[in-house]
Amino acid sequence: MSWIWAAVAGMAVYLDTTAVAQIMICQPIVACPLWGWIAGRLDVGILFGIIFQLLWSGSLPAGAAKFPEGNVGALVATALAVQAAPAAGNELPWLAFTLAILIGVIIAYAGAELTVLVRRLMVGYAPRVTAAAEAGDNTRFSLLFAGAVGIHALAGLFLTAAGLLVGSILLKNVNGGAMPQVFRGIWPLMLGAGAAVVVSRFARRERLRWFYAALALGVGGGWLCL
Amino acid sequence: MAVPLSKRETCRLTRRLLLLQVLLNYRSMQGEGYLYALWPWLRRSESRAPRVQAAAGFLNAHPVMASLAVGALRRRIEDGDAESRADELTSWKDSLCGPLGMVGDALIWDIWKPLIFALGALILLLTRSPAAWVIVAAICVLTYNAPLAWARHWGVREGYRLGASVLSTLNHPLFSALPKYLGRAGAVAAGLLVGISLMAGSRMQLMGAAQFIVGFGLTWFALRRGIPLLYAVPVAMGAALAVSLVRL
Repeated sequence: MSWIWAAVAGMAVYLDTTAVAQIMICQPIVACPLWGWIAGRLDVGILFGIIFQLLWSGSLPAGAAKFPEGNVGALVATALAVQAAPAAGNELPWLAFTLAILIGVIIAYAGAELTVLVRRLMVGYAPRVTAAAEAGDNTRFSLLFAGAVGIHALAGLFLTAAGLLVGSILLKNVNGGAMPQVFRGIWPLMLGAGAAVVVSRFARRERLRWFYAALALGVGGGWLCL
Repeated sequence: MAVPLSKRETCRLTRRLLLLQVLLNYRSMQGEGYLYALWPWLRRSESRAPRVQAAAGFLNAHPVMASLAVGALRRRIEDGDAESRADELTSWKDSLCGPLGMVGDALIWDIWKPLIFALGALILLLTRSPAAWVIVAAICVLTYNAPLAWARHWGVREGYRLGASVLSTLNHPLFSALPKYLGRAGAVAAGLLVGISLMAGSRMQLMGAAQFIVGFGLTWFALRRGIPLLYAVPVAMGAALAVSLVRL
């Protein structure tokens, strides 16, 4: 049953990303730990939330731009990772986590194509809403508009369910504890990848002195605190 | 001088703007979203057809800056421009797209959103405790949304007040100062993030630091070359795992 709820959560994340409200409850540091908490592994949710939040910092749903649906991908990856994780306290299955991250990234790019399809579908759908408005038919107008929300919801549901299905099949036979000493390196690797995305967004030439000063502070602070 | 938009109508427009992008499409972009926002008022108005056409025509702006557009559009339709100056209204709507899109994208998508949530990720990286997550997530969502909710409300009223000359509001010094100062805050957040996450990686000895640097370097290179993360992430993973295997 949990995959159905994960698909519903993915639907909510998909809706909030572009179509409805955009209040950013879809962001990985919100949605992934929330799913981890629901599924009983908040620690895994936080881990994946940090990784994907940084990784998709440069992904902007601006205008007609095609952008990876990173938020849905992050949720799919978290749901798969939580499924693969043993009881708390044991060694984390880093090989399964690595594959879950890869699946999350692939789902994000598949989501970009799906969003293009939905927008193309709306090219034919939206004039029907306008026609209902011109005719002054409020009921038809409201129903058609609700139908459009439903199309987005179905797209999100389908994307998440497909990701979970494919991911579950792929991760089914993965030995969670295989070579943990090798795959544990995925955590610093993904932190590095995410940090590169954030730096590329903010560290412009005119702000470099602010960046370097904070870098020195971060290294010093990290040395003392961590 | 026109009577200001009532508080109730402003709130209704602000609320309905949250669904602006439901009908987003490659023909009229957000056009039908403006129709949805204005619909409760439009459906009661006379000469509905030209007004509906005027509301639903092509328009694309950042979803928050769209509040200025919807207020101004409401005012112009109310003034009868949809019937008497339909062509001019269409070109005026076209002229809104660039400025309202660019200002919103540069300020909100480019800086505000990544800044708030990168800072949230940074704090979580330092603590990673469940209690901290609840607080961080709530603060991030509230900090992100509170000024935008205010901006939407203000935008609807200001757009209605200015009507056709709505773009003049973008001349306010705040629109040029905010990206500058928030950009600096972003650079500080990025610096802290690199430093702290490098040290977090280094907790796993030298190998962790090496893997952080591999991930950072390869992703940075990919982003500079315009290579999608779809390819950059697996390559970085492969390289980092190769580093681990060599060590073994």
